[in-house]
Amino acid sequence: MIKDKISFISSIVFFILSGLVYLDATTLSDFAAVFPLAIGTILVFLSILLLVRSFKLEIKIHNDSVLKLKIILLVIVFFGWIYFLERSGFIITSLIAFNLLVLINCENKTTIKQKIFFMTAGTIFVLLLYFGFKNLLQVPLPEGLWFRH
Amino acid sequence: MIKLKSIIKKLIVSSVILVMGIASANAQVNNIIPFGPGGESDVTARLQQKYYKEMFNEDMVIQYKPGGGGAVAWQSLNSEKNDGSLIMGANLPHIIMQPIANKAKAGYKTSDLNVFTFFHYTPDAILVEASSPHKTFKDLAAFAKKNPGKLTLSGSGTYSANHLLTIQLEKAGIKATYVPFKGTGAAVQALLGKQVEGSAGYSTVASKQGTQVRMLAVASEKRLPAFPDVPTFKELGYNIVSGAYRGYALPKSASLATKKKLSDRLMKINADKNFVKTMEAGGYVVVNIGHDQIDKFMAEQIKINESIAKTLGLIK
Amino acid sequence: MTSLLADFLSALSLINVSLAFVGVMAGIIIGALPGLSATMAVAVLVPFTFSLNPSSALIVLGAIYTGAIFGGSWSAILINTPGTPSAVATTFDGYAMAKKGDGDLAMSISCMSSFVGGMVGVICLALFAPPLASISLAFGPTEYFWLAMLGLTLISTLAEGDNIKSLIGACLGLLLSMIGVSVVGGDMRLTGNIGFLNSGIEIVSAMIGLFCIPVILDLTSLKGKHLNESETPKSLRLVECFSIMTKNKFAAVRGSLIGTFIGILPGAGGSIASIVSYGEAKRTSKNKDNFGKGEPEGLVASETANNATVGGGFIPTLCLGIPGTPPDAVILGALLIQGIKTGNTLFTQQSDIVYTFIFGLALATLIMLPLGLLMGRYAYKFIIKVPKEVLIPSIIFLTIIGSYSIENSILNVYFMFFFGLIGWVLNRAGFKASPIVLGLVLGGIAEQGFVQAYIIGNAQEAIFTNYFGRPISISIISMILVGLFYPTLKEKFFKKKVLIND
Repeated sequence: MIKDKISFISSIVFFILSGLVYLDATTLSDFAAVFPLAIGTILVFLSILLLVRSFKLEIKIHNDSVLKLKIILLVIVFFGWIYFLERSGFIITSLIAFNLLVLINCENKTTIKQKIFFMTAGTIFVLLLYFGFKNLLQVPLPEGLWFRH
Repeated sequence: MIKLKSIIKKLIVSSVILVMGIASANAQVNNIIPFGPGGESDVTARLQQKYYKEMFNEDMVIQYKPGGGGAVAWQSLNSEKNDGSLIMGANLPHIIMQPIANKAKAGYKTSDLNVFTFFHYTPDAILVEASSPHKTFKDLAAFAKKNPGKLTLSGSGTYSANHLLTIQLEKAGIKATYVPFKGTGAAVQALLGKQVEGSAGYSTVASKQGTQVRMLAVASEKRLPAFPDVPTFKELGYNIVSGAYRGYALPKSASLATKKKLSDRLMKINADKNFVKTMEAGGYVVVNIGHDQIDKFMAEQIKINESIAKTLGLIK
Repeated sequence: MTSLLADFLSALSLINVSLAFVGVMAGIIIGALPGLSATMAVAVLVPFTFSLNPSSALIVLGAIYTGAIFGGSWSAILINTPGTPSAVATTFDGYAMAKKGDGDLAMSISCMSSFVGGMVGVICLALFAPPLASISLAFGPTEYFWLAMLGLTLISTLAEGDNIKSLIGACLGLLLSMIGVSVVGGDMRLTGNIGFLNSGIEIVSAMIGLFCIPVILDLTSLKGKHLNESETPKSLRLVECFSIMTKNKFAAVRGSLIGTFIGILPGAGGSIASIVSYGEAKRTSKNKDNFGKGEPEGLVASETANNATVGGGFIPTLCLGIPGTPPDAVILGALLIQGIKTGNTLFTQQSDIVYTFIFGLALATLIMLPLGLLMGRYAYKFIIKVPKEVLIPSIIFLTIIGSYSIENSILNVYFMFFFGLIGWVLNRAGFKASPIVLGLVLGGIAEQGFVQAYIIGNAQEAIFTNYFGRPISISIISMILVGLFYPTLKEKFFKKKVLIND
């Protein structure tokens, strides 16, 4: 019945989004509301078009298949890296996270020697950029709230 | 063997760079500007940076933390180091008006900011383009009275100092239409391109744009030394004395000694004749409000701005 | 004339040449790192310029600016992430070329294009600054609005097959551009009470998220290398590059002119220039179907335009004292401290400083060509060899440190991350990034232009004429109509011709 499931779901999502835009626009003054309402209306129109189209035809999207496990691990470590950045300080968090990611991305054929090499090179890279950004570019990288006294 | 050599070479290069990087760390004070680069806060801070290095042999490192008209930076001030290694720009009327106008959405309260000095202010001004038929403020006022609403004045933002100036003018009988733009640059562009009749801006605009604009009136107490021919609003019979004050704040937990040290240093820069000359040439009015006068000054300013807010209907 | 010769020679002084050289090199490196924009590069250097004389200060700032705009193409080509927002359209074909194994060719094309665009911008600055400045003043809110509309008609050109989804993407971009405080009205919009969004969407972290995160996620989960190695990694493929440039000389010139023109309009900038130039190239090209799959013409269009905004942006900056692009705002501040008064007196009373600077900027652009080609070759060779195990964490590291450095705020890093995840999901659902970015970049200009034109028109009691009666606006509107209806008109006429000949 529904030929294009993804388009169907997308159209519903954007329809709801337009509703939220309309809702927000009620709190706005006249001038500020013009564009949101205009774009919101166009979006409603397009969502309906997409919805109708999802019953009639499917435009295939070419997506390569993905290894779900690696992605989940990567996303978790990536998020953790950001989360702990200010808490345990830039250097420690980055060194741990970077090397973790190296290990996650290693394939079965990478030897222990290679892994150690990658981790060392990575550590130097992290340190290089850390001091470069901190001292040359004067960016105040987080030092770690846990260590602040 | 060759591979090992090249790896060692790369390691040496990286460690050299590393050492250089570590070595270039200096004693310094970080000056966080709550706006993007190029504005009045930036320019005056850069000027201070020069004198700071000369007088105290320390680097003042300027960083930008723009967003929310300054709110993003002010929200984060109290989580910064309080040992005097970091100061943050503080602007009036922003730090009073934003919590009033936006309430909880502002993200901070005026009392959260440990302001310790104000070192200059830029008075509001009305400007027209050099070829405009309005030669004096009286001409402009007459035009507005004959054609209420037809006088278009460009300015930066809504509920900003520029906007408030036009509201004060409206209360004095001059009904103009305020056209908000994103930033002073865009407002000045509209002025120069004659898209609008005039501009509600700062005295610094007159200085930057030179002969391309004509400043008709300035909202300072006395005439500015750099513009002796421009009358003040007071002289013209309008009780409008307003502008933007700029100074610095520390995190709330900073010690009194830290406050005093930094305030004294900045006031010392203010006392330098050359510094004052450069500032005045740019249309800035140097004021010396140090940490000892700050509480009284802030209390006055809060009262003034709260009454403006009441007339605007922002407070009941 | 003798003073011009003197200015030319002083631009060639040892100090100035070394400054130009160092400036370009530093600019390229900073521009290549995602998150570090040209504005940041210039801002970091400003304190060092206080001890220099005005023209030297301008030269080093201009050099780092033009280097950074070129450098942004490196990460665009190698990791699909615009190193600076101005390189956004370079990702469309640059990365595709890199995946095919033509990455080194793409780097060289980008360098040559940046050179051509930069030179055209400088030449316009040198010869036509005052008249171009007056043209930029003639652009009021109405013109900006119609120009943004013209830009938005490019959505259909950028669309790849699925028109409805592209239009939805553009609407999404437009909505995203409205988040934050509205310029007219002062209201807080579409923030959903998330305090962080009060200042709107930060464009650089949005771009990093939108373009880089999907690449990382795909890299980690798919087998195989990141970029295919080119067949001749040792050479710069100069001959090939040169022939491509000559083949696309029309696109190069057009891109440079578009870039210069958009540069003179304050408030626009490199990102708009590169997207508009790319869209125009795609619309009128014979190879339009190859765009997005690694068509060199697209790369040429994008990189000529963004480097042309450097020279173009200096025109309103120096002539009017109004910054043409964000880095110009920083440079303007630096000039003020030096005591330089911009404006029409600058070209007459202080012409030495100006012309020494212009020659110096031309020199820096000239230096960028060999320097960029050489540095690019080494960068490419290096990146190609890095194994995925180290490459992926390194890219992630760069995105984190880069997005943090924009405003020294961890919030931008979170934003980059989540926006990236959303971008990845949207990508897999068939919504491409380019229409979204187009809407995001043009939304503010379109809206402000529209509302401001209304207010002014209303005050003058001439709303209709304000929108449709102004000469420049009329020409822009005609361009929009031609662009929209030309394909159909062409078909009609073409068909007629065939019938007659029959």
